[in-house]
Order: sequence, then C-alpha cells, then structure tokens
Amino acid sequence: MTTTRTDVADELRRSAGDVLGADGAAERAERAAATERGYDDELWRTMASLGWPGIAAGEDVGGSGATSAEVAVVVAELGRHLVGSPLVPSLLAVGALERAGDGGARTRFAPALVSGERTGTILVTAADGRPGGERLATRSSPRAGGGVRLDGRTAYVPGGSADVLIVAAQRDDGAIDVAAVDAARCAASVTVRRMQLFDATRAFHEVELHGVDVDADDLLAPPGTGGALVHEMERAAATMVALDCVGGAARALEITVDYVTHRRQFDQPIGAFQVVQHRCADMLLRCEAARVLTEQAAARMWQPDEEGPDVVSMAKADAGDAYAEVSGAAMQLHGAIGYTWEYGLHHHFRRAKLDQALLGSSAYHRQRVAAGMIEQFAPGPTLASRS
Amino acid sequence: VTAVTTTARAELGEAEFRAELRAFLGAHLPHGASAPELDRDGESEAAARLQLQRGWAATLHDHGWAAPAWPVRWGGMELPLRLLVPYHEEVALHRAPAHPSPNAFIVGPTILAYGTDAQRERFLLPIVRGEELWCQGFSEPDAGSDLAALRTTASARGDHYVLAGHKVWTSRAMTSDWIFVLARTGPADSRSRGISYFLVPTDAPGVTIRPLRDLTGGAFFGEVFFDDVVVPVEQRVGEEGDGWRLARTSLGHERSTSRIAQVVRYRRVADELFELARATGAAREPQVRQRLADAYTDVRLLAMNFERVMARVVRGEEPGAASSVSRLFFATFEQRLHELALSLLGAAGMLDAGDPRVPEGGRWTWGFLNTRASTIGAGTSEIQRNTIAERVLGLPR
Repeated sequence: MTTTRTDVADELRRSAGDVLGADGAAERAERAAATERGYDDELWRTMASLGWPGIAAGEDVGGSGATSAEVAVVVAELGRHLVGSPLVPSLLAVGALERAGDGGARTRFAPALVSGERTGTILVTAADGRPGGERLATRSSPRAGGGVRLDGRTAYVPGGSADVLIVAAQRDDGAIDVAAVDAARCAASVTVRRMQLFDATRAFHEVELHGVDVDADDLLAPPGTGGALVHEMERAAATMVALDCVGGAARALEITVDYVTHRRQFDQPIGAFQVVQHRCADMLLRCEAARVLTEQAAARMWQPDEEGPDVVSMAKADAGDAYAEVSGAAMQLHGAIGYTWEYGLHHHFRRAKLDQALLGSSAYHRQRVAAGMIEQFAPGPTLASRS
Repeated sequence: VTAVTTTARAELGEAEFRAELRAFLGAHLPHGASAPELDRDGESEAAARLQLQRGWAATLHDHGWAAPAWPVRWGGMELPLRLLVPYHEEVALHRAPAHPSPNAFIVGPTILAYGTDAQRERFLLPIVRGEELWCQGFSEPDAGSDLAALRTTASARGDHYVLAGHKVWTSRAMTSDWIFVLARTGPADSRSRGISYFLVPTDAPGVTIRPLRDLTGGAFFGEVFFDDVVVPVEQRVGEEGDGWRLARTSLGHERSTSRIAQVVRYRRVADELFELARATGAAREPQVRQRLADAYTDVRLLAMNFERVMARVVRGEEPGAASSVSRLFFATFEQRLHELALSLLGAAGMLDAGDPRVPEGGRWTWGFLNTRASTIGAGTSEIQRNTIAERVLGLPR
C-alpha cells in the first residue's frame, strides 16, 4: 500500500482538528488571548509535543523535514479554530533560520524553536505593519567586527513577546540586514507592549529595539545583503495570513450551513429558501477560490519570487477578501443571534478584518500582481496597428 | 490510417505523443486556419468557416487524429485519460479549427453507450468526420430550467412515433442535419419518468426551423417545430421512458478533458486584454490595475480549477463539487473579463463591427454581448447555485 501526500495531509488535518477542537472554539480563543501571555500555554505545549513548530525544519535541528503543504494544513486549522498561539510566528522564525542555511544563527536558535522550548517571531514590516519595502521599521548601523546595532519600533508583530526575534533592518544607505536577537538576553534594550486589537483571538505587540547589539555570526545573511531573505519572509508571512483566512472562511461557512439547516421560520428550515441557498453557494465559491489560490501560494512558500505576477499576492488579496466577505455573510444569515458577543461568530469577522489588513491590504497585493504583469510583457504593438 | 497506428499512438509517452501531434498539426493545419474561436462572423463568413471546420474534421479522421476518446472501431483514437488533456491542449494551442458540431460530443457518447449497433454503425462515423451536424432539442418555451416539464409529445404508432411540439434556443439549428430530441412518451404529468430520446433528421416532413435573432444581432440559435413528424422506432435511443437518464448522464472524459481548451483560450485572451489596457494607456490607472490583477487571478484560478477536476477524474472519482463550483465560477468570470475589456475601450467599445473605427474587429463588444449568455445557457447560474446548495452543501430542499 502506498501512502500519498493527500493521505498524509488528511491525517494531519484530522489530528490537528482533534487537538484544536471545534466546540467552544470562540470562547476558548477569547479566554486564551485575554491572558497576559496571550495564548493557551497548555495547547502550545501540545502543539510543540506534536512537532508542529519544526514540521518543515531540517532533521538536524530536530525538525520533521516535511513540505510546506503540511505547514499549510496546520496553519489553516489554526484559522479554522480561531487559535492564537506562538505557532505561526515561530514557524516564520524557523523558516527564516532555515533559509539562512548552516551557520551560527541556525545552529544556535533553531533547535530550541523547533522543540517549542522557546518561541520566536519576525519583525519584517514598516512601523505601521505594512510591508516594509524601502522603509523597514528597524534601522541597522554597522559595528566593528561585522556586527550591527538595531534601533526602531515595529507594531503589529504577531506574538511579539517571543524569546527569539528575527529582525529585518535597514541601513542608512538602504542595505538590509537580517539578525537573530535573543530577546531574553537583551531584555534591557527590548521593550514589548501588547496592542489592543479588534481581533480578540490573537496577541499582537509593538516591539521596540533600542540599541540592540548583534554579532556578525547572528546575521542570517552576509552583512547588508538580507534583501532577498526579507522578501521571502514577507511572502511566507503573507501566505500564513492567507492560510488563516482559508481555514476561518471554511469554518464560518460550515457554521452557517449548520445553522440554516436547523433554524426554522415560516414552518421550514431557512436553508430551504433559495435566497439563503444562493448566498451559501456564493460563499462556497469564494472559499474554494481562496483555498485553491492559497494552496498554490503555500507550495511556493520560502521560495524566491516567480517571474511575473506573484501567486502569493493573488492569494493574500483573494483569501483576505473572501474571509471578510464570508464571515460577514455568515453573520447576516444568522440574523440577530450572529450579532451577539456570546455566539462568537464575530470573532471570525474580526479576525478576517485584521487578516485583510496585515502585511499589505488587498489593494496593495493586487497592485503587486499588476506590476508583475507589466514586467512580464515586452512592449507590444499599439492598439491602432492591431485593429 | 490503420487501427494499428492509432493504437500505437495511445501507447506513446506524453512527450512523444505531443511531438507527433505537433508534427501532424504543423504539416496539415490549413494555412490561416487560426480562425476565430468564437462564432461572431457574418453569414457568408460563417458558412466559409463551417466548411473549413468540416474539412478539418475529415482530415483529422483521415490521419487517425479524430475523436480522441472514442473507440477505434467507431473512428476514434481510444486514447487513455493521461493523453486526453495533452491532446486537447495541443490542438487549442495550435488554434486548430473546432469540430463543426460541438453537440457531436454530447449525442455521440450517448449513442455509443446506449444506442444499438445499427445506430452506432449509421451515425458515429459521419459525426466524427463532420459530415453530419447535430443540434440539441431539449428546451421548450415552457420548459427551460424546469426541463422535466417539457410538452413535446411522441405518440407510439406501432413501428413509429409521431412527434408534435416546439423546441427553442436550439443552437446551430439552421446548419444541422440532425436533431436529438427529448419528447414525452408517457402521460402529461409523468415529468422525468415519461421522457424518451429520439434522433430526427431536420429535413423530415413536418420539421420547420426558424432562426431566432439573439442580442448580439446574429442568428446563432433557432426554433424547431415538429408538426406530426414520423420517427421510426429505430431512431429512439435507449428504452422508452429512459430519455431523462440518458440526457442527464455525462459520458466519458471528452467533455471534462476538452475544457483545457478554455484554459488555453483564456490565458491568451487575458494576455490580449492586458495588451489592450496598455495600448489604450488605461494600464497606468490604479483602478484599472486592480481589475487587471483580478482578471489575471481569475485566469489562474480557471487553470487551477481545471487541474483539480482532472485530478479527481484521474483518481476515478466523480468531478462533483469541484466541477459544479468551477462551472459557476467560469460563467461569471467570462462576464467580468468582457466587462473590463469594454470599460477599457470607453466609447470605442460601443462601436458596431461595421464601423471602420472599431477596435479589433469588434471582438470585445461582441464578446461582451455574447457572454451575457454564459450565466444562462446550459443551466442558469441560479440553477447552478441551487445544485451547489443542495448537492454540495447539503441544504434542505
């Protein structure tokens, strides 16, 4: 008997579903996010014991060496069950260290992140959480011996209270460094503030670095050459957000289908009315498109850009909008009960709106797709000469 | 071409198969045959194109490249599933003329599966060679989305039936030699249980065909009237009363695999649309860029949906959910794409094909009007949504 990739993914999805559970997800998520840590530590321990933080990491650092398809399955399940945990930020930190290859930083930091003994995250945006481009929030100044000093304040950092920060920073001349920072060891020069966000299921922080000194061997790319890696980190982070949307949107639709099947008005289930059925069909269409695009994006996670339009941006724009639309439609189809805090559907809607805004709006990503199209086409004939 | 050559082709690896097909297409495609893929010409051009298509169908058969999914015995290639997508993809990439009768791949597989040997002998080869063209007589003025309400009757009279009724929205009715008809053989209220499937020549006494002008201005479909038309029992396919099942079963892989042609075509159309945006200067506008990005994303999705459906077919599963969702997606996609094209053209998009200033022969305007049918024909998008809601999501009826 052969085991196919689909079998592996299905089994992983089932086991993730068992661990994360569906019943009372909203309530549990809300309770966990409200703690000082911002997540359910017991659940995080369980995830770590299942090897999820190292699912795609090399076996030499304790990982399972699986593909990004398996990462995708787990991350979508987190969205589905409204989980806030250090898993996604840690996966991103591990991914960045993996891309750095064998060197000091990977050997020093990856094993503890992979085992879940420590948590990680990445600082890769502009100060306001948008993709950094030319204006990364953290500035970098070269020091004698090849190291750098980091200064700056980044908001919207997922799980910013992490033990290990992978920081993208820009020099005055535009050159980019990527550094691993041991936040515990540099506690005096790292300030972390919890942000009060619309999404009540996940913890985000503002992280301020004031004069954090990093040695040369804690750089993930040779000094001043981190641009390509930062780009990969941004793409991976955007893909993670899209995956969250795919899982969340699918769940919002499921909850809705269940509700309209059982809720009776005018002596019949409201799901027997075509106006409700058609709305559900359109929701499925949105969910499926987002899922198909995001699966393609996930397959290319931690890879250099494709030529032309980037499927990661297609997925981020489409999945973000789909989650917001589907969770909004879910609330509408629930009527008044969907408007209550206790029912919890609003947690999907809130999470969707934050996902839509994180790491670049849908408009920003569509703009990237269009720019990719323009690059792809050589100058062509004019309209007049073609008619 | 002998059956042996054709059988040998079915055993080639994909790369050799593609190479052999390309060589054939390169050598035999009529010069300038990269004819419009859409039916938007005037009448004389339409007649010329039909001639070209019939000739090409015969050429394909002469060289053993016709009807890729059909049995060799009935003029086909009997290709395995793994070669069907490469076949249709290469043909589409080379912009070879389409088969003159798209309905051939609806009625043909039905005759193959449910017909008698005499029917197979009589009908299949002329279908493959494009010698006899077919249209589909299903819809009626009072039976569209609710097809099972159809009223055309077929009354049994010993060795023949007498057909009486009225079919409408019959694509290519005027250029077809035969029509396959669903007619009621049971009582008036027998719904889908009392329907049978008939093959009727369009020149039979009592058959009248009237063209029906559509909103593009062309007469692509027509109305068909049956005024006591005598149809021999030998021209009924399957058992009496089994017509609904025959019409509802989609047979073989020809239709699902040939959808790669849509993917190929729309990749090209998206490129052309982008060129249009650039040529008109609209590509500099941020709002237009947003819509271009969506159009490009849609084309990617079209390809991904196709691959997903194919993956299911290859695993021997029903295309099911993936298929009905991608059908609904495709219908609305075609409209969005042409709406974008029209908005790029501005007032020039409103020019009729006859105006000397019309961009690109009026193709975008024609496409815009024509794709209004995308969400109606072969099941409205509302019916598709019903199907998705009930069969995929399991909502109550």
